[in-house]
Amino acid sequence: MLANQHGLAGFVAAAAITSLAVGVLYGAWRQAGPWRVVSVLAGASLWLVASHQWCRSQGVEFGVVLVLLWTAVSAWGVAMATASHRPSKARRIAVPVDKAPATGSNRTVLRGLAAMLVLGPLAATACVLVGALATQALPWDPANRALSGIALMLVGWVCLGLWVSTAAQLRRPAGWCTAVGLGAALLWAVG
Amino acid sequence: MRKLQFRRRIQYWLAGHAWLGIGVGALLYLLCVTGTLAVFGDTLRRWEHPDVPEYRALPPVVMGDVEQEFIRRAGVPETLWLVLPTPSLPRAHVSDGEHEWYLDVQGQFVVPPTEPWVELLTDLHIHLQLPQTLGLVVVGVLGVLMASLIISGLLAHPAILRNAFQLRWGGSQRVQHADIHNRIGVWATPFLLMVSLTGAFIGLASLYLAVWAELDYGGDRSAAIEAVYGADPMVDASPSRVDYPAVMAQMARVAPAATPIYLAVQGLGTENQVVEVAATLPQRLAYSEIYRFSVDGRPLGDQGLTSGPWGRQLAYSVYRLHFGHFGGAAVRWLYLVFGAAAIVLVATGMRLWLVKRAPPGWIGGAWTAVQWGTPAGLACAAASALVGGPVKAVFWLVFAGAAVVGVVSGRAQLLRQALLGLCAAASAAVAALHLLQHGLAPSGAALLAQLAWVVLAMGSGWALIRRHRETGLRARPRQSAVP
Repeated sequence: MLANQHGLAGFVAAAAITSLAVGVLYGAWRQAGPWRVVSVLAGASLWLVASHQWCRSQGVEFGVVLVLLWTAVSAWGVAMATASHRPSKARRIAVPVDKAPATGSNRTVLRGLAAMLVLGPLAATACVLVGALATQALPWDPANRALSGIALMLVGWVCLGLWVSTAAQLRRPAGWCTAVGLGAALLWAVG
Repeated sequence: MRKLQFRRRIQYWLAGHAWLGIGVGALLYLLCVTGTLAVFGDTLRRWEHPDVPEYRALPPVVMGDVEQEFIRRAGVPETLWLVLPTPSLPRAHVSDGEHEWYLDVQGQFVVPPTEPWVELLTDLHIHLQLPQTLGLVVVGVLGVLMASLIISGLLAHPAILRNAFQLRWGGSQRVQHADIHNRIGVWATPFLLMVSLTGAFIGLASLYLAVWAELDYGGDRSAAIEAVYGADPMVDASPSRVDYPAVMAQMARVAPAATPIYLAVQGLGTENQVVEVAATLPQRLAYSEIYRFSVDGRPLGDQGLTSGPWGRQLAYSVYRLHFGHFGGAAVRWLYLVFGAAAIVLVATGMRLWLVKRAPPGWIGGAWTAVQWGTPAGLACAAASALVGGPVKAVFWLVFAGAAVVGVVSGRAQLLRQALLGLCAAASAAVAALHLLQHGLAPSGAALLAQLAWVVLAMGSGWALIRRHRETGLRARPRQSAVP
């Protein structure tokens, strides 16, 4: 816990080392040539030391979460402190940024609604059934089996989300989803 | 050729990322705003209901009297919960799930908790005020889609390392927003995946367990839940009064490092009555371990939430991880920063999409209504709560009213100004009303919340004036519809 003095000192020390590691990585990002590799290695090593310090002072469970959070906070701090300020006339200068292909608003919204149908009821049926059926045969404690099934369900659902979002035609993921859902339901009914 | 294929693949990921974001952006924004505030739920409860005695510990000697007084007021409950003071909410309350009262340090019943605004916040975040189970599942699906969005965003960003620290400020709004969106998204990926997947777990676990129960337990859902979270102990003893001091003394001996957070007396007054003491363990993410005792304080073992199968430990750890309720105030503040970052991430993502469309039409108006109608609606609902008015109705009136105006008129700039003005006025009214009703806040936590309202009022007012000057709204009422 952070409440006691030892915990607070450990928190501050771990936070400082993490920020230092991010600072070194930023230095590497700015450099070129062989020193860049050395700086990356130094930054990564410092980050590992920071992770160890987080886990030592806050426990492994809190430590893993906190090192990831503090790394992000430090990186944002560095990015904000070193942000390039551009004059307003720069508005007219074309700057290359990641561009999404332009799509009509209404068409995108309609496609979005159709995809929600695939990612909602269809995905729910397929992923829940597959998650429950796939872990049924595992020789584990019921709690472990249930959690494995839930994890499988979530991973499958997220992957389906990625597929649906990039599919040129929604018919394919929708068809697969229906087929898998029906197959799993059939397996359940039979066995 | 390969380069062309790669660029085409990136274009696909970007397009997929864009429309998935458009599809769920509004709901994700609502969840991010309410979730960020819900991290400080205890602080907001103390602000909304400040006239309740606060103390660090409830003496065990008064717990028996509390139980008897509860039975006198509400009858014998099936389960009686005695929730103990914690550092973030230093006040005790007693409940049977239907009736509830705050207690003073002598165990006297003070008042029932009345925090309708905090209830609105948590209801919106947990089930979007839809019917309970349906709402949980919808929010769970949104968690899954948020995870998909995060991964597709990373895949659509091939220069992730090259631009790791790049932030261009000023100049082109589009470049600035793209940099803010990408830097937040990249560095916050672990946090965003963590909250989206734990949120998906909380929302969809019930759906999974229902199917699992049909498969493995012949449809007995409680058996499936017991298999995951542990079963209740079977006790057979003569019904007698619970010796709370003995239970708490044994608790201190059984788990000296644990901090009790609540007691639950199961089967009160029956032969099966048993006392459960839930307690947090240092450096553990599990919501609690539950220690069981007989009515005379004899230990009956624990539920294995921190020592049982890893599946059980994991299932019981997602709540603190999702809500940031671990590690004290420092972690809450970190979660506040990340919650704010998630709000900016959604807002800049939507803006990037809208800025490419001129005019963005009804979607621009609808998004403005969501973006500025959410804080305005919450501020109006808080003001209504302070004068005893309807809370949920006021929020939805502002939110839905703004959405209708935005969609029908498409005048996003004008709507934004109106909602900012409403937010500033309502926040100022909330701060003033609270000061009039309760005086200077009695606790530091309540004072902090009061200050937050003042900052929100000043911030909204400042944004309104700045925008007004920038756009010269009075002279040119019909502007670009980008919010």
